[in-house]
Amino acid sequence: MRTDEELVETTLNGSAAAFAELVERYQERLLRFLLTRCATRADAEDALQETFLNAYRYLPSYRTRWRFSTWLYRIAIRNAWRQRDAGHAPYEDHPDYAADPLEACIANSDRENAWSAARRLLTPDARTALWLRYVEDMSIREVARALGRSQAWTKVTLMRSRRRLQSALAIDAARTSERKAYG
Amino acid sequence: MDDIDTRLKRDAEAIRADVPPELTSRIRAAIDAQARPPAEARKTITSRKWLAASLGGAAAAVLVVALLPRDAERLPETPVARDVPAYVERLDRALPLQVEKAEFTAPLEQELQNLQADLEKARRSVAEDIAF
Repeated sequence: MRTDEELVETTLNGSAAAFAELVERYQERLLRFLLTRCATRADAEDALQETFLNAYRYLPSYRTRWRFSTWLYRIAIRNAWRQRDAGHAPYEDHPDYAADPLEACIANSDRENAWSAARRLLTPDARTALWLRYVEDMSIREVARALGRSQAWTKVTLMRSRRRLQSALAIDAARTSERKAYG
Repeated sequence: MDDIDTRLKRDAEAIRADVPPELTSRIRAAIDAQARPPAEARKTITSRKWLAASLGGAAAAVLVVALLPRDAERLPETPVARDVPAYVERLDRALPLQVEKAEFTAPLEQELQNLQADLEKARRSVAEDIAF
């Protein structure tokens, strides 16, 4: 299997098929991430399309010093923010959990999904930092780069967010077991 | 890895994010609608940048030549002090310096012995005063 960087090089040499392979590789991962950032599924899908379009347009400016995924996520984060600037209501302004695109995408379960809790409790950047670090396995440096923040900010935010989420999930788990015990 | 780390990963995988075929086609169509492939754009950008840089450099050079005075006046020469200025002598007279000239009448070794003898006398005198 060719690496992302090889596919980028092939695209730059004129192969649209190589870029289609990159789209195929990242579309699901990015959509999953954008669902945690955007207010509606339609917004997430629009942001996904814009992300690939911008990536294709600005591909010559990509430098292999950074992983392609870091660069792509950076674009996706900007597009998610642009959805807010374009007048789309951010999720935080109307936390209607029933209409939450994330809720609709999560299989029914006894306990709350950690990302729903993260959406309820954390700022968009803190959520993104958690996602990139623990879902995408990026290094602190890469997370900082993708978010355009310092490494110190990233470390502190990750630590605080984990702690906050952990205690919220522990309370939720206790309530769930209580409900089960007493009906 | 902590429990929370594992849970974050597992719960992320629980989010269903199937990309509908319509969305994939929409993305592909948007990319195809781009005027040029990136490689071509890169070449154009490079040549455009090169041209812009060359023109900019030439314009700057012309501007510098035009703005520089042709018969630039020479800077006035700064006079260099050759003698001790007069005020130094006045200053010397104005300061009430109370100094004594050291008159060495004997060789330096002899002078040193005299000074040491004077010092010893002074020491003895102080010692006697303290004892008293």
